[in-house]
Amino acid sequence: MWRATVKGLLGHKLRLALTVLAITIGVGFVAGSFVFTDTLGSVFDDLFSGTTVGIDVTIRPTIQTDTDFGFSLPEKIPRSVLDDVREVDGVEEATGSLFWFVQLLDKNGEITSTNGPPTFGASWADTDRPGAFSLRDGARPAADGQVALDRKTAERLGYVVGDTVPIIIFETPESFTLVGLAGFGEADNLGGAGFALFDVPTAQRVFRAGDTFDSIDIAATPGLAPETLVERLQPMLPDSVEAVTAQSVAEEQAAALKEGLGFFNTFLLVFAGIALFVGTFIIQNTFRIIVAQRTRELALFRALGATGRQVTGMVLTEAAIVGVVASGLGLLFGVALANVLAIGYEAFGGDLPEAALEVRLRTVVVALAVGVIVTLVSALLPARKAASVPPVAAMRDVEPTTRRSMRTRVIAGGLIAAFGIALGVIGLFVDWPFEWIDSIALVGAGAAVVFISVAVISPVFTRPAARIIGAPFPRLLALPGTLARENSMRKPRRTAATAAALMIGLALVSLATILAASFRGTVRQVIDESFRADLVVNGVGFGGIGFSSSIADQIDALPEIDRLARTRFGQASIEGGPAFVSAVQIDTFLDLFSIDLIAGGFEELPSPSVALRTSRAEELGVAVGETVTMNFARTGEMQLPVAAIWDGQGIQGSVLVSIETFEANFVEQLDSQVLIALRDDVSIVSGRAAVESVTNAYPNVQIQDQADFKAQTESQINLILSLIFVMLLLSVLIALLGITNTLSLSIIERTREIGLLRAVGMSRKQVRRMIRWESVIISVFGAVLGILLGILFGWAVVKALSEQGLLFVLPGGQLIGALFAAGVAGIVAAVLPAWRASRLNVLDAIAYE
Amino acid sequence: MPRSGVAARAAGAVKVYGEGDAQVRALNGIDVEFGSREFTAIMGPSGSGKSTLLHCLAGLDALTDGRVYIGDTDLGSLDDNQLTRLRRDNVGFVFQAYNLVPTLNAMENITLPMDIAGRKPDQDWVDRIVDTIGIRDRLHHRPAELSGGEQQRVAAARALAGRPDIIFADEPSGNLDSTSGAELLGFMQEAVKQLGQTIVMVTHDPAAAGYADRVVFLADGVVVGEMLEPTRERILDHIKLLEA
Repeated sequence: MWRATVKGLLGHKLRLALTVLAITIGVGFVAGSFVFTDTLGSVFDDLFSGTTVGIDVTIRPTIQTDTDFGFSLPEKIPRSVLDDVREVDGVEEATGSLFWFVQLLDKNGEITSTNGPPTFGASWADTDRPGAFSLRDGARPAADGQVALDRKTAERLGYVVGDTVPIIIFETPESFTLVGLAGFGEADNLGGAGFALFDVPTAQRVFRAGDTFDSIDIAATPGLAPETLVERLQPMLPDSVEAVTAQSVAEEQAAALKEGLGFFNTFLLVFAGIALFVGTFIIQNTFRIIVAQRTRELALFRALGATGRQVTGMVLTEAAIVGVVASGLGLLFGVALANVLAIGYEAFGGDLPEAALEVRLRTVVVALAVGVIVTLVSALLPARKAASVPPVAAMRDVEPTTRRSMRTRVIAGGLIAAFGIALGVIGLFVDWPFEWIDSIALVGAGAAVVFISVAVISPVFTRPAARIIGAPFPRLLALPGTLARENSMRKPRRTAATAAALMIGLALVSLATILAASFRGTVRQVIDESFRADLVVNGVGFGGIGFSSSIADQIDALPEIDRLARTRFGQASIEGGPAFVSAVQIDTFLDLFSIDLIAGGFEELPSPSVALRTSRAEELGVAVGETVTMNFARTGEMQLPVAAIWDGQGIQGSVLVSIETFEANFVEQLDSQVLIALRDDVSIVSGRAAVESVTNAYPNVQIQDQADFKAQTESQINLILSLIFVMLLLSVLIALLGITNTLSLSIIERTREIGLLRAVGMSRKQVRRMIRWESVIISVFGAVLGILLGILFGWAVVKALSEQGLLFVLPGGQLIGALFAAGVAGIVAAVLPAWRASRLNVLDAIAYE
Repeated sequence: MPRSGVAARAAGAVKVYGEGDAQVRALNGIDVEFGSREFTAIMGPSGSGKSTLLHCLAGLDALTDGRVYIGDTDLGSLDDNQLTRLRRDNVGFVFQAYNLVPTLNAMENITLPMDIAGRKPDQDWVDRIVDTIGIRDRLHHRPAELSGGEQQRVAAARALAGRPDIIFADEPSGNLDSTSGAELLGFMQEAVKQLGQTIVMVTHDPAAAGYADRVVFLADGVVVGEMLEPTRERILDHIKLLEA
């Protein structure tokens, strides 16, 4: 039986080629993702452990506000602590260090790094110990006015040792002389982020740190374990700082980066999963067709004494072999893919030291397992069906009798669909309490089940759908058109199964399109409603850092300005949970921001008090006049009364304080936005020119009007969307392969028929046309199903997010475009099968036995 | 002697398959003519080259040497598109099996070549054929719903419907029981006598050949004999003679 299986496999290996391709692509993405993230993870591990060479213990501030994003930097460590630490027995050497963010200007005076990782600024201590930074060229900065840059950034911007580099830390740019190029451990920069290094006194000056530090690095006396030193140090430190081993710091930092990698990994795996899911439809279809075509052969085995189970085993073994081969190829493809990703990473500014790609055993096992299991599961049903071939079919043509009634199909499909919808609804709308699977996974599972249910039901309406879609064909395309339509209606299950793969791809594409349009539409509407200002000044570059508050002061002095409102953002915690705090100017913000006052009033806000968004007030269960507990990085715990409750799109976050309160409780005092209302008699153009006269001196800010604002937000959405689309295109591609596959197989079945048509005078061109338009019907059918499903999913997701203010926008034009594209794709998918059909030797076809 | 005009002929037809030691000379120099308005049968044992000759005459296969004509047209001078059009407009086919397109009903199968050409059929002619062959009540059925004999009759109707210059039939009654077979062959005879068609039929069955006006005998790729006004008994005798 084994030999028969293998020979059978080799006999129709071409038929399985496309199936193999589908699995290879899916497995390839799984493997590639793991290889890439494993490699990068190791690089980060090495990087960070390299940075702690020579440092055993670090002292850092303890107050770490609960932040999910953003940088709220805690209080700095005073010089006194450093002096005290140096006296402790076991401390060989202690140096203070600082870090902040800086923005470099390139040789044209423009800000670098608009999207992407930021540039760090740090001090480089004057010691002989190895540390985080290593000198690659030139010398360390040793005096004020000197800077060292990471080599990668310097190369990118074209700076060499000796050049003058303008750097912005807070206000206007300051010029430094580039004295050296540095690296971070083995790498030339830190995971894509560059850094600028100063000596300690200079760092203190430019970071406005007075005589304080952000951390203290300690080398222990040789032989002393770091943990012991930590225990020795901790009691003598004030409450605001803590001592930790440098090892644990390195691990924390690496873990933070790896968490980001984890998301990327999940992202890729999701798309690999989609590709494989689509693949299962193709595999199942392929095996079903192959089994049908080999009825005679399988019947022969049965007639000669093989049991049904042996026949099933034969088919499954074939599937397993296909799975193994495809997974092996997928592994290779995955390694190649990881290489591509690495190149992409470097192109985006990252630096990968010469490291071999890491292919762990886990990756190999997972890749093989995934490929084989997917193939086996998909081939299961057709394999079972193979067992039911009666032996007598070896001698005469037996009509396949299993015509499961349509009603059973609808009922079964309906039940499955209900289950899937239930999963999705729970995932979207219900607070899911369990840990072991999260809401998003539920929604995904629900969607997958719904897909399956539609695939089960769709044969029921394949015939009417094909008739409608193909309605113009007889008239427009004459006989080939009629035959194309008839052929697509011939085997509804096969047509439906083939179309199902494309349905999934298009459903996801439609979903993404609808979500994007909804986001865009919502954003536009929000901006329209809430954008009352004429101009907005925003920070450029790694957002959220802010810019000097003197900019707003200067703008306020301009004659063209009627009024302005500045805001600052910061992170704190409220009642134990994270809070995004906005600070506003009481006198002007109501004019320029669109806020609905629900209860209380804003006049008392500076007293100090807070104003809460309705949703937050409800969540905390407080009303105007009651008190909430907030925790600020700078001042710690504060009890503040609630002065007002508000709602509206104009302000981010859910907690408002006055600028005065903000100044009292936050370390960083940078404006993050300035909204400007021009005087009535001033045009936007001249107003903008006036404001530019102020902002030109500050390369890290930009001016936007309403149109600019919309365009910028839209372009960000578009960027993310393009990424997602590229991934989804993968599934669509696999689906198209499925169509090509099915067509090829069915042409083999119809060899005699095609031969007959050629014999009675159908030209090759007409044969191609027939195949081509059959493919179009299949793909349009799949696309229609997919788009309808996509609209359903899109509506559900938007509904779930409608609390956040998301509106439902249906981009009809784009969806119709997708439908049209599917039709074109159908034509493309048919090119190869149609060509082969037209080249059938008529004689062989007629004499075909 | 042919009665009036030559519908098709082969001159020095040679067809070789394979190369070197594995070479097979299916046709080894055949000269033969087929008259218009005649029913000619080609007979011979398997391997005699009769099917090959039919295929080459019909433009389905190409000769290695020699020429083949339909009317005055040398098939060797036509390219694939021209041959296809010839088959569509000037030639009719009836095969032993798998004659019909499963997704079309009987009527649509009958008008198939004309639909391919995009021409409207001559409705009177088609009606006449349908009634002559006797399948009017089955016209809207699909092949799966027709018996073997009915299918072959539909195939014959299709071959006639386009008023071709010549009809080639390859063992048309081979898969049928004797009653259906006799019916079919009778209709083919009618078509020649009443409707003025020309039919060339390949068969190994002496009874079938008995319906023809003339029988051409083939063996080992060459013509070995001929008989006019054949009957089943005379053919059987002749075969015994050939085998001796």
